[in-house]
Amino acid sequence: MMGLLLQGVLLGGYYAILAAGLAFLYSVMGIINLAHGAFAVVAAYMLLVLSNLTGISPFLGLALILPIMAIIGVIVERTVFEPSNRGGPLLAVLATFGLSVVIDNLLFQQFGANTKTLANHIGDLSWASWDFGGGLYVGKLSVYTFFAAVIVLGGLQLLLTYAPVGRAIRATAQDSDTAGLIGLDARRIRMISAAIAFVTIGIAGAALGMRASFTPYAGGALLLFAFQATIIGGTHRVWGTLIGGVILGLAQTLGAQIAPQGFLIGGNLVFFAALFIRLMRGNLNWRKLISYKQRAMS
Amino acid sequence: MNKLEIRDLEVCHGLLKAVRGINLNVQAGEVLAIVGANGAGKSTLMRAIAGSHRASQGSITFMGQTLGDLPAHKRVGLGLCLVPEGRRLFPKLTVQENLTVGAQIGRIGYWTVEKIFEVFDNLVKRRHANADTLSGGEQQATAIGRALVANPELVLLDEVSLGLSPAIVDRVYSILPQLRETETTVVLVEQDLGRVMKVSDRIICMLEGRIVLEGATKDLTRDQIIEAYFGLKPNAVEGAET
Amino acid sequence: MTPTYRIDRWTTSSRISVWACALILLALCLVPLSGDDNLMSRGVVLFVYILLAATWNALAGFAGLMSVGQQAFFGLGAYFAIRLSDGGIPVFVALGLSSVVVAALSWPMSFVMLRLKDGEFAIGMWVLASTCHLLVNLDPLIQGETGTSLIAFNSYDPELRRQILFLFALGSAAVVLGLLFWLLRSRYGAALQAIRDDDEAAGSLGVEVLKSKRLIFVFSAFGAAIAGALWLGANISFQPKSYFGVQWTAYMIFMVLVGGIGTFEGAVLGAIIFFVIETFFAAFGVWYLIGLGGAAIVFSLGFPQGVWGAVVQKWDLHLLPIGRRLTLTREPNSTQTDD
Repeated sequence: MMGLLLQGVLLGGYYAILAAGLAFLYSVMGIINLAHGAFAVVAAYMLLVLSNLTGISPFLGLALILPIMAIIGVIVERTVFEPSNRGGPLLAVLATFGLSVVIDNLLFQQFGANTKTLANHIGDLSWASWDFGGGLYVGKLSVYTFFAAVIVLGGLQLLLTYAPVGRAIRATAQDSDTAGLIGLDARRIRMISAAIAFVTIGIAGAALGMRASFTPYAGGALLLFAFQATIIGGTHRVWGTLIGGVILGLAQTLGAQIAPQGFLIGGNLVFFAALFIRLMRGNLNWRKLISYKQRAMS
Repeated sequence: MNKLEIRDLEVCHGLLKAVRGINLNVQAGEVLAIVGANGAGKSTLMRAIAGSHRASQGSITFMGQTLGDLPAHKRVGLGLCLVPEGRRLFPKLTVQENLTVGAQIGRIGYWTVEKIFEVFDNLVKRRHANADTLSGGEQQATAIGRALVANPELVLLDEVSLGLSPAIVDRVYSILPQLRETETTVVLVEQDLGRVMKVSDRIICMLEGRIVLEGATKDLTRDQIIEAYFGLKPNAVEGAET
Repeated sequence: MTPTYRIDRWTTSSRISVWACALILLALCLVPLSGDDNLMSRGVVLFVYILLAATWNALAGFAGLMSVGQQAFFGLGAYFAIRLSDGGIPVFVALGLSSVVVAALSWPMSFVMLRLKDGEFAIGMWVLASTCHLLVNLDPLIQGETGTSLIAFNSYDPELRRQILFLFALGSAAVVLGLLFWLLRSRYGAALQAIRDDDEAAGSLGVEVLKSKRLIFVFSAFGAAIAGALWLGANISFQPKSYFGVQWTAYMIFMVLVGGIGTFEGAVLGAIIFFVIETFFAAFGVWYLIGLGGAAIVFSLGFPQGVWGAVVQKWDLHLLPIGRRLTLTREPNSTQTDD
């Protein structure tokens, strides 16, 4: 039982990394990126290709892939987010959904339907575990993933709180017109935000590739997990994402004990339970809390 | 030397011409007050100067540079700052963060975040409070401070006394002598005529998007301004006809 | 000077087009007499697309609710048809009844889902679809992803079956479009137009807006469920994965975006365009799908009013009067439309 709970919590770390970029973009730019999962899969494929070509470890590969993800983020911001945002949040939903369809199928076209994994590029890490005695084994990779989640989310938290660029991001999120009046270039800040979000997506892609196998069409499911963790976390704090991920991970792990299909059903049920609680508590919109726009304060 | 030159400026709100055919020079170091009834186009003019509202015609020249379609954030870099109507602080940033983010443009000068806390010492104990928890006076002080830390050459103050008690307004305006000292040019929009007469060097009065009266404060009488304010012809004040 | 004006719900072109619709409907009723199997089965496909496009457009274009999970109701429509038929209900009755069951189920769902806004609603619906998919898989009758088929259908003569199915599909499409037309002209429609123009301002209409959104939510669930049941009728086999797949939403988005989101005529036009494109390009497989996704990006970013929107803009053509037309009679040159 103890092992099961630990497994669920660690799985939550993976979901938190997955959700970080989605929640970040949503809270600072108001964009729900439906191509979020697809881009994580793109990152995983890039790491795979790099490892296959050069034989370097995916960890080292990340050093190259993350800057590329940042550039992709800037490009997507300039070509999709920014133009669609001018037409309202609903157009962004359609445009990013279209983008996910294009990416999924391009990946399929390029790599075929076979499942791929980075597991054989990371030595014994994919199966190595610590023995805590009493039959309690904990996989090293999932522990590292959990710590990576803490570092990613903690990094975002520190960045938003203490770094000048973080303050500028928050100010622009709260009132982009006024941000311009004090000399902040909202366009540049949106590009930086997108780059940051896409770097976290790159890390999520690495976690995806190392812990399991993936296919070109895996993006949809990843988006759903990330979204569920974000909603369950249901808070205006960055750490809510980790809590949401952990709850989702626990629900799935415990659900899987009941029935094979219980893994996904458990997660979905917790998601709807969280929605229901929100319904009962009144419309507590976490996004409003973090970045609500105010026309005039008087 | 003129700090700011406005030629034939026209600004539209949709189909409505809010500002029409404005010509105006603002001299370095002066305090210019704009008065006028609600809807006279004062705030629109201020926003057009700051670059947050696009002018449809005419030109604005700041320190010899034509601004054209230069976006607001670049004008701040040149030393042109607007304290917008309604304060518009970042509600979920603390007082200190609001000020720091204002200083981020990186213009070094007399004003620093700490200097603001010195001048508006009532903000010190609210340093780490979120802006949306502040009182009106504290908000206004923060909003002015947020603009000043960019060390502007020209600061535009739009209705800074709105909704504040007279004692608080005194406190807000106590910043003006220091602005004169640092040779900062000030353009302010103000409803309180008494206050305007006291603090400004020059007054312009706007009516329906136009300047209808302009003059040095010491040369203008209160009645003259009131007539211009309401668009009354001097000989028609008590007349039945218009 | 006060201008004199007239508020019209009907224009000459709209009167003509309603008569034309009636004639087309009548002509389509005669198709089964031709005995052309291929024509009839392609017809069913077209009607399914029209149903999907029209109801997704009702949700997205009129109620401002972008759903990425309408496949939930599409799949459930097919599932309940099988369930009811397995329970002994005559198969065509089951096909018709399943959509009512789904509509009834969607009503309680709407209370939770409508709490979500914009993008949250979009993905939330996707989660809902995935949940429905998983739960349907639990039914032993379905045998998980293996699926099952509408066995009872085989008792009918194939020729007769096709004819009935065609008429059933035609009737469903006509009824759903008619219902939608009526709904959009009702006071609920007026409230929805207000939401589309300005959600904040419409908030002052409060309860009316939420009620209208709920009504449209249930209505589009109903329409998607009929489409699912029809699809089952045409294909007989039921594999959960193909019915609950998100590609259905991709099709809906494509049809509505290309046709013209928020216009009654645009959705139907989009369905026809999609039908033609699919007929000629579906063989290209992956590239066909990439094209659909790419079109969704291009249309949403560069051409959000769609083909029909462009037609309206260019010729001021309104075939079906959903809004009211305000005509200034004093100044014949400046006609204004209000829709």
